[in-house]
Amino acid sequence: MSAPTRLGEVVGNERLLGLLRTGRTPPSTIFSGPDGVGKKTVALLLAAAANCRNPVDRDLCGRCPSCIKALSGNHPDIVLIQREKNTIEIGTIRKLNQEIQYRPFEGKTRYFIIDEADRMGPEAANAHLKTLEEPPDFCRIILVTAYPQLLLSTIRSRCQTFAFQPLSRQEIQSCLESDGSMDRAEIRSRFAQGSIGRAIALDLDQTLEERDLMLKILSGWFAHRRFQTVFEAAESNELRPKIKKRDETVRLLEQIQLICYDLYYLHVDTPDRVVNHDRIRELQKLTAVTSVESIRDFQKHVSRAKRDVERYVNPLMAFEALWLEDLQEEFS
Amino acid sequence: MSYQVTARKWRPQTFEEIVGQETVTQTLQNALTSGRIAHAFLFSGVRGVGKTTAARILAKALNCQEEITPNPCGECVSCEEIREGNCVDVQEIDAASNRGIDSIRELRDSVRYGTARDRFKIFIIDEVHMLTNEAFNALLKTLEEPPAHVKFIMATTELHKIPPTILSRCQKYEFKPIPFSAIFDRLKFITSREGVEISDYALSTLASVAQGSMRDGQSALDQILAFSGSKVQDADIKALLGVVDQRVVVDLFNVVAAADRGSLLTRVHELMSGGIAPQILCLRLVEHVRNLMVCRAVGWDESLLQLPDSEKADLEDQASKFADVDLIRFYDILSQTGNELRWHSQPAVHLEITLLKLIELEGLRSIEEVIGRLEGGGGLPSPSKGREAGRSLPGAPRISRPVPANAAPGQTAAVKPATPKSVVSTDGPKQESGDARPPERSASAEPAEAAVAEGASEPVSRLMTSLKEEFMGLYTQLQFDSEIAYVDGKLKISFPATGKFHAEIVEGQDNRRRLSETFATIIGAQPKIDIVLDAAEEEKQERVDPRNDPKVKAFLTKFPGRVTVKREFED
Repeated sequence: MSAPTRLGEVVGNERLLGLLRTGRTPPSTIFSGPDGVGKKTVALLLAAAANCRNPVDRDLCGRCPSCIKALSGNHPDIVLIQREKNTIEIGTIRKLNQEIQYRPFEGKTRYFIIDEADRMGPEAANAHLKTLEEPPDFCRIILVTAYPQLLLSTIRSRCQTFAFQPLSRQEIQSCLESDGSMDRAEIRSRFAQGSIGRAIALDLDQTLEERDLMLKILSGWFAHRRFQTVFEAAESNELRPKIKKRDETVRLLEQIQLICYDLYYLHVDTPDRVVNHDRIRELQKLTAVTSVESIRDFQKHVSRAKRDVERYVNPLMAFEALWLEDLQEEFS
Repeated sequence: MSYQVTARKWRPQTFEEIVGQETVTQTLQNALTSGRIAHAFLFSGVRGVGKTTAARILAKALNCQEEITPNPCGECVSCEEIREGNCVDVQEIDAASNRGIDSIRELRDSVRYGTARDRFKIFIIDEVHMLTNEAFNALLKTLEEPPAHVKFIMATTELHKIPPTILSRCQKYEFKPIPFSAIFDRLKFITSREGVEISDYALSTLASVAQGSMRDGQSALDQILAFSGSKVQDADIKALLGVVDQRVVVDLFNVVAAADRGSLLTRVHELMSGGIAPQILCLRLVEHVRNLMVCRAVGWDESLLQLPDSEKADLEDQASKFADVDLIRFYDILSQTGNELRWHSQPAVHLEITLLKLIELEGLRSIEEVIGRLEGGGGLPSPSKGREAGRSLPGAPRISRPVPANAAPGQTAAVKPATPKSVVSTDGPKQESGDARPPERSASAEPAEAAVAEGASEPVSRLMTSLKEEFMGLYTQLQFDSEIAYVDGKLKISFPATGKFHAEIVEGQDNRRRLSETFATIIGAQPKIDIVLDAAEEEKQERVDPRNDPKVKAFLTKFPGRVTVKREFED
């Protein structure tokens, strides 16, 4: 499945898109919203549309030289700024501050799109302030970020924020179905968690397999609370290689989190929001041996373990410690 | 003319237009009238309160072609150029992008030259907090004694990052956050001038989004205008700004008060799928808890609450529903959650689950209340003597103490530290189970002996003190559950059966000699030393199942809990 090449093809957030397409937007904007809902795509398409030579209904034509350049990422007036290492450096922003003073080379409006704007360090962000407040008339700046609250308040105050929303499950499902290149649209849309990007990138077989493993461990755990079983499972041939790797362990922990959320929803009688709908029977069995409180406590350890793994604690140790912590909590 | 954001279009051009900073503008104007004008100014305050604007107006006032005036004409060439930002003699420097020492050196060089046309050469250094330390220091001499034709105006949002050496060379002006009503009035003025139809409700929402910053309010206004054109619907506001309406928050807390889980979840989910970011909602809830606390503490206070008067009744009503301790707990949980949401992979779900927690908290009662209830109906188990005794430090040597006069004969006088045998799910029974042991034998049970022991316990503690100073190793061994008594000129050290290892150490390796020599210096005579291993004691101590223990039983009837594990401690 390929990324949309017209504004009209973008899924979800209709109202927001309608507003953006009117063109009555200020020069400095923030596109915020969770990962994988199309913030950057929309920003790039808006830039292409603004520079298109024969726009159709404020959408890009896709055929003129300007559009072709824009779609292949070669338009001189559309600048996409991305971090090189971990952060966007002050040097990058200084360069932007200078470059923004030039008139458009061939198009009508120059677009500067800063991806992951929250990765600007305080120096870079401060260096950007004056430009953001009073950019030249022929320029637009779009800051794209999934964590708008990490931006400086002085930055936020100079921009208008357009908040992209997570897509609904139905939106994702119908989008996947109409495209047709993705299998099992229904279950995919459940695991997507509002992000079309995730729905597309998802390795479904692997996810389901891992989910089942985790569900098995969790069922055993909530029923008997024997660390031995978990330990053996972690040492089994299926799991051991995974738990050695950081990113895979994070994924496993996320699966556990999802199962916990499902149990939560079953406990408070909102079963339509359950992600692992295909395993609803097992989940319902689990609700008998758990309570909202016990899941919350457990959940706390899972989040903690996940954070630890992300912060370079040995994944296997973090994974095993989580169950021990849960046991300890029960006894203390 | 191309589209310009409201904040730029309506940037004040005279001191009078600056809203909510009367002390600052008044002071500046008086200075301009009297001609007592400093050469360096430092404007500080939060974002969007008028620092840069004031700096530009001040520049105009100083360079207006007529004369130095508190009311710049705005029409002469200088005023015009400053407004457009292309005046040669007024340089606006972005200190955040030019933060190095080299930039300041350049500035210092240009300070030496005279003005091109106007009265003063003015340097507006914005975001000055971003200058490096070296740059600040390079500026010091120039800032202290600049040529007569040079004025510095610095602006910053972070005053605390400015070195004190810079601060002491400037006149400082602190810009305050703009009050709710002033933002409201200004937005109303702007919208009426632009011919926009907008309700007072919408304006008040915008003003509260602004949080004391005029620019934030104006940015929000722009956003609304972009969406609705010249006729603003109230419904648009909420959807567009991701603003959580005061009424919504009040409703949400009513649901919390009513402890309706399902309804709470549905509402929160609706809000979030309607476009409100979890972080924003959480922040808003924290704010509301704060408002409720303010309301409880000082009542309705507009300047503290920043809310329109129409909300008064609801807020006061709700404030009466919650106790202070509830609100403090809400605040703790929500503010912690706010932090966690930043990095959570599923912020929406996390927030929902946290909110359920608020309902459960409702069920929690304060400890005072619980105690009060227990005392009212039945009372707490009265602490027994043994229970008191059980509180002595476990593991410390049990020095025989005289039996109190009212103690029953045969009751234990030697204090036996409680050995934790079981852990019960509620706190407390540790000591209970310690008590449950059968009374121990004691050498000092008879009153006659107690009199001797009374005199004796003092030498024993003196012995321990000097042992601690001289023979730490020996002292440590005596710390292991030993019982030391000085009776009839005889020093008796008894160890429990489990302390065999320690008893042997005290016996051997010159330790016995050390003991007797040290003790001899204390009592002035050669003591007899008896080291016994108390084998009988151990047999007596049957291991009791904590569940059958009468005191544990009594405890469990008062505090509903259950015995989850039985833990035994062996040496």
